[in-house]
Amino acid sequence: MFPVTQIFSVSVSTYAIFIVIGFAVGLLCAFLRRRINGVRADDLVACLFIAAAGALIGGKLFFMVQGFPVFLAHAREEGYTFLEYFMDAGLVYYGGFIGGIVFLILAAKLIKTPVWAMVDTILPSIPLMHAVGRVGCFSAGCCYGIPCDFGVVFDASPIAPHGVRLLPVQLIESACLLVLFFLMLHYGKQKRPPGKVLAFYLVGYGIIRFILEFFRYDAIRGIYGALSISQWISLGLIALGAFFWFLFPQIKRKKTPA
Amino acid sequence: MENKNTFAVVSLVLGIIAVVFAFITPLQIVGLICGIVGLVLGVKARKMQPSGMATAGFVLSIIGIILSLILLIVIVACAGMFVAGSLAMANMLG
Repeated sequence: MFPVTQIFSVSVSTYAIFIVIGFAVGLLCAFLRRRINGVRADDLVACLFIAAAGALIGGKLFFMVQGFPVFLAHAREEGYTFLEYFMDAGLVYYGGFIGGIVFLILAAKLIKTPVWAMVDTILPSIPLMHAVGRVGCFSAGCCYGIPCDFGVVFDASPIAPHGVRLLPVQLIESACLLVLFFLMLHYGKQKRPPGKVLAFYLVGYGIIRFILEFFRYDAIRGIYGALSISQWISLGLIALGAFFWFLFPQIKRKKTPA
Repeated sequence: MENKNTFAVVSLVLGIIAVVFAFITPLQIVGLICGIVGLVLGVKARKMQPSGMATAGFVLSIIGIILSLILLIVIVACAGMFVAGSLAMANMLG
């Protein structure tokens, strides 16, 4: 729709603007909720920014892995370097989520703050940030949906096919993520046992993503067998969510002395 | 006492490096890593002995991370879309 926005006569990527806005509102949300889990402001800000760095690195690495055979072809034919590939690589959400969580846990351990308190404080912000980011995807025309009569034409997009009405699955996902955000906000209004808030998110987003992937049309994201790579990951995350909801409390109870 | 000051000094230095490298393509990733390490040390320094230097290191590291992320995302959002388009084209052409 609008891949580029003019700000004081400078062309800026609309996608980038929405990512920055998403991160800012997510940070604000986590900051306002920090007292529920007794998290210090310094620790929260540090962990959030480090998690953001991890999300960027993870998102890029995921993208790079999916497009690696094509990168090798470009490297052989044109001398395209790995660093150039890293700088040019796009972002894949699941890679960003995994990278963000890994960096968040490492940061919490390094600055010696309770990990689960930090995870539970930040997690509800993730669907909110993601919802705003998906509006950015809609602006850029990436992550587009299947052709349909009531779809949207992305004639200005450098990614989506032109002259075809495509389902705005980015906006549908954004709406679903907002619902998930409000549900998590309600669930996280009080302190919860370790793992429950994470399980809520994993199962909730896993279901959303698994279903919406059937309506995606961008084959670049990778297909493996009957399902897309993101659908396989979604199934894994739903299973992981079930583990954290049902089995993790029992394991934790056995490890914690009475 | 020495340890606390060392953390604050290193955090400040890494914060400055993070800010500077954020503006030098393709060193944003180096700036990002320096910012992360500087931020961790800044938080530790502020916990052990709050000081102006520790706070400056904390703040500069955050600024360095923000600038690196923004500039990396802007490059990604522009070039990543180009690459995604190229890759999609390559896939279609088989």
